[in-house]
Amino acid sequence: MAMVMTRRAFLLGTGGALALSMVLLKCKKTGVATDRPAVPYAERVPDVRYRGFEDVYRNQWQWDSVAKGTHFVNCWYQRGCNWNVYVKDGLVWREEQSGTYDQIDPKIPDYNPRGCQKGACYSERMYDESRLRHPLQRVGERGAGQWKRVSWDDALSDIADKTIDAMISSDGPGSVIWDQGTAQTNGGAGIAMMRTSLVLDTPVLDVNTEIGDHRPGAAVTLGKMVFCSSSDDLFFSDLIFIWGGNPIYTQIPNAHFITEARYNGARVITIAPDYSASSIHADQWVPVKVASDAALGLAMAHVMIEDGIYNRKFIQEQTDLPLLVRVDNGRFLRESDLKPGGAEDRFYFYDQVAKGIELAPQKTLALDNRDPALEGEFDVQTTSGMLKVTPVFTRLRQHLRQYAPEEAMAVCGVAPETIRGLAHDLAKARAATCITQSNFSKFYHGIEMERAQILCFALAGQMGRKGAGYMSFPYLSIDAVDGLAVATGKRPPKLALAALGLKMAPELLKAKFKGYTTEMTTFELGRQEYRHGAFPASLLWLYHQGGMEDTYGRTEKWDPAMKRPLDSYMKEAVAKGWQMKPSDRPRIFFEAGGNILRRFRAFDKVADRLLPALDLLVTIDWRMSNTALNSDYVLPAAAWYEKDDITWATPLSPFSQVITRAAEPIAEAKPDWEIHCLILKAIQRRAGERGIKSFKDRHGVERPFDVYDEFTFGGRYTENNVTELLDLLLELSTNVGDANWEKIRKKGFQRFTALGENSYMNIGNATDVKENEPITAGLWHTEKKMPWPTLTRRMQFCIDHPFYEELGEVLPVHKDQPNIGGDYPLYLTGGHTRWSIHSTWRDQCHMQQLNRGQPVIYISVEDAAARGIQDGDQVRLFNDISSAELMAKVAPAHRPGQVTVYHAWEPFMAKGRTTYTSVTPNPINPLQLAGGYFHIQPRPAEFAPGSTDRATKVQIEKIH
Amino acid sequence: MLIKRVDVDAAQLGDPDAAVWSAAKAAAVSLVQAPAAMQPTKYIAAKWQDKPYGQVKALAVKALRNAGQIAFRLEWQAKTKNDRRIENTDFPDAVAMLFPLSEQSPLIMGGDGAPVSLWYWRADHPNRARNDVASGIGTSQVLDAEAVAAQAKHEDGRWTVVMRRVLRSTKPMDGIVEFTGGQALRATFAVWDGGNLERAGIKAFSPSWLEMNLEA
Amino acid sequence: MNEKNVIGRELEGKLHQPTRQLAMVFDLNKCLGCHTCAISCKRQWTRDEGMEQQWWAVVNTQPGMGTPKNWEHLGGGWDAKGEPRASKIPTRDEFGDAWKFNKDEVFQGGKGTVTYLKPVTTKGEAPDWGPNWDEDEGGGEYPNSHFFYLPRICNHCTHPACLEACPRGAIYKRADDGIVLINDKQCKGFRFCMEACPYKRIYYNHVRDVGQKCIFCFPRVEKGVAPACARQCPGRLRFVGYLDDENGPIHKLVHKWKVALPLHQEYGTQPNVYYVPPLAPPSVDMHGRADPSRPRIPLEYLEGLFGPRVREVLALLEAEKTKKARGQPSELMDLLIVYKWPNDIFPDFVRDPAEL
Repeated sequence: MAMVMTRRAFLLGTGGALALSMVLLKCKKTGVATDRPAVPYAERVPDVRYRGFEDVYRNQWQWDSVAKGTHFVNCWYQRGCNWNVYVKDGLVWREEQSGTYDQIDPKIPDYNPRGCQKGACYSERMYDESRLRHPLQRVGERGAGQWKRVSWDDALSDIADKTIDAMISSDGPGSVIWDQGTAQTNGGAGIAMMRTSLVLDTPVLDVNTEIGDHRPGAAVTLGKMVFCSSSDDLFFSDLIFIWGGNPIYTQIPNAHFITEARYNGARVITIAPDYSASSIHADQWVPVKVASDAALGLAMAHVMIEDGIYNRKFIQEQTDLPLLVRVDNGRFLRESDLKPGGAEDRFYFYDQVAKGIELAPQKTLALDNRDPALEGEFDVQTTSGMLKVTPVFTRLRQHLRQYAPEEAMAVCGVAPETIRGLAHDLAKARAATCITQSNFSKFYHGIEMERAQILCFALAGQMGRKGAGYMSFPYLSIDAVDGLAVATGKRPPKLALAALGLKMAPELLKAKFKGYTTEMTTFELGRQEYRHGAFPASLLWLYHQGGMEDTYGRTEKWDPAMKRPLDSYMKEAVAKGWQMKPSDRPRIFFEAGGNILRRFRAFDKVADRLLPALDLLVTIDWRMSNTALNSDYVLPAAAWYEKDDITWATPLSPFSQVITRAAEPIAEAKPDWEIHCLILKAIQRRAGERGIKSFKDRHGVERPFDVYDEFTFGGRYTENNVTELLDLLLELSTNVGDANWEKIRKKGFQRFTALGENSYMNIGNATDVKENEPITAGLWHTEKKMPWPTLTRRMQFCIDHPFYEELGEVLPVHKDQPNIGGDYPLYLTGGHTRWSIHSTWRDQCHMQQLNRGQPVIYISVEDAAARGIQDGDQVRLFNDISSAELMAKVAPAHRPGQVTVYHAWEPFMAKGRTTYTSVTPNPINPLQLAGGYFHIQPRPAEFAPGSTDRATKVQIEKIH
Repeated sequence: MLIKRVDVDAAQLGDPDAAVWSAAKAAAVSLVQAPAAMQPTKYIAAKWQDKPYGQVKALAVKALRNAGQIAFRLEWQAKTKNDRRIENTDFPDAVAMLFPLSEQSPLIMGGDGAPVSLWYWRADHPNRARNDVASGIGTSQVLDAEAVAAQAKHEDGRWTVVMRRVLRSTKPMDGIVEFTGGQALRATFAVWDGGNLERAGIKAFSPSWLEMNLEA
Repeated sequence: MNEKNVIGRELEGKLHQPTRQLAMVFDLNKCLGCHTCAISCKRQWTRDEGMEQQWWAVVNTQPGMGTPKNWEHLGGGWDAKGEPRASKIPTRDEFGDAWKFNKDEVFQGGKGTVTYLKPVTTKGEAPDWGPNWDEDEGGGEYPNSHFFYLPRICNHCTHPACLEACPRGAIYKRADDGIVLINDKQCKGFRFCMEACPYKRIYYNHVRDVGQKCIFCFPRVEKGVAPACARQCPGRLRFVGYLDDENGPIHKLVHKWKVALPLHQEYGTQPNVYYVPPLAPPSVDMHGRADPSRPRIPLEYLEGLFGPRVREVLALLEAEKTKKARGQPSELMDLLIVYKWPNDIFPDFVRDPAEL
């Protein structure tokens, strides 16, 4: 310790006046306060005496009560986390993941501690300046933030009056539109929304297709979009593709299953244009050109077929590849081709055992001793003479030759040997799975990307086995909601449900007679519901009634392959009854949990066109969203720790989660269920006061205005007893065991005990839920040989629909991304960010501080340099449609030619209030207007046109 | 130095510009750099051993009392005014007076059983000074004691700070200094140039006592 | 014999050698960069006025400038001879200020749509840096871009430069667990600790005029509850335990399997946070042809952070992973997997705080 001088050393080492001065002065009687003893000083050495200060911290870690909670918001793939909500002095102080999920198998990692950074700061978010505390009425320009505080009574009365006016006018209840958005529940709030629309006969927009979460490629192939295993099923995989998703951003609580599966020996391969966050923990990263994934997938399929490494048994049994198609027109050989009056939905294969063509079994996938040929050409005697037929497989094989790796490389940019490697890895894996999210479904040709992916997994037989599968849309929730939402309010709920069952019985019998599986029957009921008009697809509504036909509907401007304009397809689809045409003029718009003026692609154009036509825009929310900011009324909802409810769930996290009233709603905020009750109460009251007895519903039926009574099951479930409703929901649900509200409120969640077949959505997972096993989707198909809910009852790769024929997409193809937005050099891609769930946390202060606090656009080093753009510069993003200003984030990890704006910047966060969404014209792909083809018919959440904002063409320039 | 009794009110006594101060005689206290080697930790010594600090050479000290209060007026050269504490690197200018609390108190921060009382004024809180007690380097503690009022100005490259307190504390406690008319007292001084990141032992200080007598 | 410094504190004496040392191991192959650690810490400890800009737990994208900006080049710690290395106090802007937003103006201001939400720093400027400003940028050249996440907290060093720089003796190392704390009642806000800490993990509270930093959640630890950043980490990568517990994961990872390495050991403070270094997919050409002989993250870069054993550790991880792929057992992989939480990841701190 040579350098440390003791005081003594210092004194000895210095001389002169200084040293002298240090000599203690002989004290005269000075004025110092020597009459008191010196302060008794604690010892200098810290350790012990300092401990007292530690209590300051110890005392900070205290609370008054703890309650269970989670978050309504649609985190979807990563949703469903059980939190402890700590309350101090009547306010939520903080939250922490409960970490109380049981391990279901000691050989598989458990789900703890489920949650992410966003959930971990909702306690801050719920009290910040965005929080809505009082009912507000707009008094200035839309969006200007000029408000008058009004009472609930005044607001509700005015809203009720205007709603009644619209309903009894010639526009009818169809002019009152609800948007349920992404912050909804599968409990009180969700039922409230559904029952409100039921009793008023007012439509609720089908958001799922609009936001491009409808997984159209999976849906046309599998007959359904819902199909997903639990996250812990990944632990059985030895090969994990991350292809079409960025789970490290968007599945934070699930992601450990990926890294842990990797430690368990799984190989992780990430395929993405950019070196994404989900690439860094991969064993291989495959850089692919933007929007070229279909070509890559088809090249892999080609390799599997040509190298003979496909799973023959699997495709014979589970897919349409052995089914015969006519050589003359490429259509399936149908029974009607062979017999007059034969069925249009019976198909043939060539059985190599019996050496002849045979009707493929329709009620089972089991082949018994049949051995359907995959190759060959056969002659068939049909009603119109001899025809040549061949298995789909043979045609596919020929078709895929154009995607030989050497050819495909020019399209997707991936080297032939890499493509071959991927194909062989997939084919030889013990159990391979594909983490794909709702990303490809937002590309103009996303259908083909998903079809190509699933083709690869089908050829490899990597479906419907532990650890093997394809992640389509995940959904798994309590299953009493569907019924209770539509049950009549004239009777007590259980009786009403029984009545509903009785009413449906003939339909069910009919379906059974047709040989439908429960799944198919459920979907058929969904189609009927859709046709009834309860859930118009938003894009169709915006196209027909929102003034957006000149953007969403001008597809032919961008897509050079189209031989006729989109309008023509639209007219045909409507005329043939394939798609609905919303025809009621919109007058009142209720935003309940969504944020249309952020969400709608080219939202600013929608605002310009739709809003002036409205009598009223009302937002029910707990925070000031951009839609709220532009509303006529803002009704403050209770925050997610201020009310009781049951949330949506998915098999990825197979637990039904609840939120509970940990703290009282602040100021004048009210739970959503209560708000809906009060709106209906006000409508019933005002109609009575105004002497209006009834309204004509959209089907011409006169209905009384006893809407509150109807809604509340005759006053049984009102604004005062939502927990009794939740208790009922749990009691009636078939997939949460013996859970009741009291039990689940204390625990926070209940693991699903069954699939819950009363839910229209759950059933697509087609598997049993077992207590001590992860959930593997599709086992009903692969093990129980239950047919797929498609036209051919098999995973179907050949779609002989006229639109598919016209557009050259009968078999999966790659189509080049059109120049959507104009002839510009860069592809604008997007995706969910790690920093927000939609716009919900986008302006939360912590999330902002861990970001850049403002909208950013990721740019490659090369593209930035070419434009003289430096990191941190303000840039203008533009194309033929619009422009927006953002900050440049120059990242070596980004692919040249690609720029990315992550999801959900609120327009009020951007200069001029235009954002990346403003530049996306979002043209409807005519293929998505197809219908009338058994499984390809619109039904809630599926088979209606979706958004196509990914890979819009743009340019950027530095703003000087 | 004699601390004269004047018949002015507390406001004037505390005002560095009050006329009463022009009549008072100043003691020129010379300051020296607190040696790097004397710094309490190796890090500080190593960091500062080759750097200039404690460059304020002199402090003009005046002191007056009235019936109930005593005031010290300290003036020194400070080319820049550093009174902000916004950046992490902001250190405000400061000045301190040290009064021994025992006859044995060493003039640098006191010692074991020989504490000192400190009046510490810092430019970010120009209107009050802190009352510390210390019995060695690194031991000072802030006392919840009788307020020491302060008033300061920075003009023409100089700080002038008046610190003022009642003679006998109304809140007596160990570790503070008390004043009685007719008594002798002594003090040392330290000045920190915040612009030079001076704080703690990185300072200029007066290496000998200023002996004073308090007029009765 | 231990020498005392001028104020009588022992510098390297028994006082600083706790009977036991708590430590963490961060497995970088599991880190998601999600910052749940940062947020859980923020919500637990740094929410008072004056602490807005404090992030006791941060996550940096590496390579990158880090938090505070350029911290690896600011000095501090000890040189090879054990002498302190001079350093500087990182500025508020280098740490990344807590920006303020004009929400009231936009939401309630009635100013029209000309306004929009804008961050401003305490100084009223538009920010040009933040605690995670260079997130996901990394280094290399496309397609051989590379980055990984490096979560950082106070290292609760065995030879803490902060403690030994403090002229007030306000920093101490607890005898029972080696947690390094700043007694903010003794602290006078001199900020020598901020300079001396080579990891730059100490913040200055402008309101209270004191230095503040990670406290290893000692109030939680004392009750058998894991620190918030660890217990709330959804990536399950923050192992917590005593270094000397031979049955615990920390000892096994640090001393038995030797796969957890200190960050910048050359700083000389003997940090008690260890890192399992990051694997990465191999380099590729523009068409995705992989070249396993060329690691994506330059080895020298990783060695610069975690020392010369990186190569050996990465090879071991790959080898054990291969064993698992072949269906053979691997204690190391099983340790890193964490089958049962919290028992497998912080066995001594498994209590549920809600049950206290």
